[in-house]
Amino acid sequence: MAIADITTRKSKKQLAYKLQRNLWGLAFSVPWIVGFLWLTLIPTIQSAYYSFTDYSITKGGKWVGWKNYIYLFTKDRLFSKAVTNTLYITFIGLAATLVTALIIALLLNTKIRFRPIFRTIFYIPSILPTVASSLVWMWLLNSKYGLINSMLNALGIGSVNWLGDANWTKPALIMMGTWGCGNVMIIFLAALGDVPISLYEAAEIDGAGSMSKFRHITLPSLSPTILFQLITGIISGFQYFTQAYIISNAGGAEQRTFGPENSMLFYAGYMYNRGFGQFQMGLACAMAWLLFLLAAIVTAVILKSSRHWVYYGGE
Amino acid sequence: MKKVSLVLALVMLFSVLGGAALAEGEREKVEFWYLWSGIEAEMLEDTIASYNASQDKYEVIGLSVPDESKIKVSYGSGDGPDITDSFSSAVSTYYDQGILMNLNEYIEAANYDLSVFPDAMIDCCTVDGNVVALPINVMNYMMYYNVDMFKDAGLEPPTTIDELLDIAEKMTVMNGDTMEVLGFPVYPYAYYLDAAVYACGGSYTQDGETLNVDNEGFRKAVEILKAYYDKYGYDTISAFQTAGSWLDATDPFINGKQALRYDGSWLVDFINNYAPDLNYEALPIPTMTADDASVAVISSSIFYIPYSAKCPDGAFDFMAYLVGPEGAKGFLTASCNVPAHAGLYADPDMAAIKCFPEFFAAIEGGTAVLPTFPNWSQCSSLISDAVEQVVVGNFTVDQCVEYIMTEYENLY
Repeated sequence: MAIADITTRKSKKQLAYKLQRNLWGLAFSVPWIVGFLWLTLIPTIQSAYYSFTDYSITKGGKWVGWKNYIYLFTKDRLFSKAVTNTLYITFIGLAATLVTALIIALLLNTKIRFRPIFRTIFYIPSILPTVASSLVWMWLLNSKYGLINSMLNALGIGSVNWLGDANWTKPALIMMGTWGCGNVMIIFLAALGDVPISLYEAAEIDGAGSMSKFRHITLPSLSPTILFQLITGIISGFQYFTQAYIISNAGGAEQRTFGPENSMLFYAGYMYNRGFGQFQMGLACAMAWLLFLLAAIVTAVILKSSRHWVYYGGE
Repeated sequence: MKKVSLVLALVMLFSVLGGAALAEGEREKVEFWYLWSGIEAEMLEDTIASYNASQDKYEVIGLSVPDESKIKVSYGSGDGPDITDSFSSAVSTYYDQGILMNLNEYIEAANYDLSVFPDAMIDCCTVDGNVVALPINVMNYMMYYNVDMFKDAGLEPPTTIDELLDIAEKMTVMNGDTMEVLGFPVYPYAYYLDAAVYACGGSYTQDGETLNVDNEGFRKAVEILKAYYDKYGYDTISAFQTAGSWLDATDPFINGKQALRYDGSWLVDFINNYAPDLNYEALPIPTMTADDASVAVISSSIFYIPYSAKCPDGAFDFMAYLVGPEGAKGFLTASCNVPAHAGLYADPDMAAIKCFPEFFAAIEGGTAVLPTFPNWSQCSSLISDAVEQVVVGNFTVDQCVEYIMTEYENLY
């Protein structure tokens, strides 16, 4: 009886201790929980509701059902343009960034002199403020005075109207994005450092060449990193905004709002324009949810396909 | 622990008491957010300082907020300014959204005389019979021309739109495939169309409430634009346009690479800064025939009190000062903006600004305002996109008109 008493008292004490510990844990988590609820979850739910309303910032929302979604797909003359431009910048831009970053990372992973200096130089563009670098790029890409055209001319190639020709605006933006691929490069560089040297040594004994080692050892070893870069790159590509906004607005009255022939009209910029330019918040919320769905679907497809091309060291 | 609590309690007590003591003799604060920046913002700050010194009831606190979307966002949180500015083209949209406070009550209480402003400007600021904003300036376009270039070419500036095309072609200088001098007033791109349509007797609306571009003036303005682009090619003109930056040292008119230019009075200020020796003059926008009077299409920078204003009384008091001769003169003179207040038309300092007499004459000669219906900004983008398709070569003028009228029906 006495032993049972002691056991009960002990378990009660343990329970109280656990409860107290959990309460302390909860207390420390409260700021995050409140922030998450107040700044993330509730606005997310609200935006889902507003997407079904004709929302005014002063008068609240008037329920309109699926009208906003139907409008976007059936009547909005610029919606498909915004989607096409965004898919272009996301997939072509991301491919260019990943390939460039990987090549630079491979070069900087070799034992060359002044390696830390080179690594720093290639990383610096990614930490520069986007607004400042966009303004600098505007001048680099200037059709008459720009350094890029001067270099092309020196090579005997004619000038390109980078920011005035609808065919060249997106390649120009991709070039800007690729220049700032230092973040991607640094992650590749870290991943390259993790590839076991023994694998290369074994391959060399088997007579494998450089390309063969790259294809059968380096790439598979980097595949988890590539998956990560792919997913985060696609999500940020879908939200592409700042560079296009700066370049198409910084010039003032001589420029078109979304570049020549709306060639710099991207989804996030269009959504921003609908919401804060035209005060069509309900429509902008509908656009935000469509973007979320698209990002979720693409991410799910990539994750599903990753089983066939991503190799983890532990497997 | 107790000591810490005591100290905190005392700090709070002093804060509350201190706040109450301050509130006793303190002037009511009026938050003023404005879109201007740089030198113009400095001029506005001088005006604010003059106002604050002129009375002891309100204290205006100015803040430069060049990004208007920040101001719009602030309304959603109910934490916006007491008074701010925008453009006359936005008035009906903002009114429709419930953002603008009705000023009728304040105007009546202060016995404020609205007849000091051009009727067209007050019309821009009035929706459903309610005055919801007040204008500070009149923004209209004139045709600037480079006097030396014309003298060298032995030509006179055009007075009709057909002459405009003819003379623009004569003034254009090519160097192989590169355009050296732009003869046509299509830099900045955005200013040609509005000015040309209205000067040719056209309009963007017939009833003032709906978009309608199916008129002779619109067609003519687009045809002339298309003819110039057809002659020199979209790529050539576009390459010229993107080489310079509007209103800085690389601006083609400022650096003598543009013969004709449609622009507002502010251009004078930038020429004074970057090319004070430039020999230029301003004339009315060319019309359909030489006998027609040129119609100046006007808009304005306006001030309004948002519905969320915490001190609307102070905001109106400051607004009246700001758009009046005393408050507006320094700012408008320094930035070369044509005043909306008639009391400044005869002011010798204003009349002494280069080209201002021509601007005053153009406004007095006849004005029209751009449409003010709530979805005008969408219409404006639609027109711009359709006309761009004409100059690129994808649309004829008829297709352009048809596209605009069809897509107008689909606007949100």
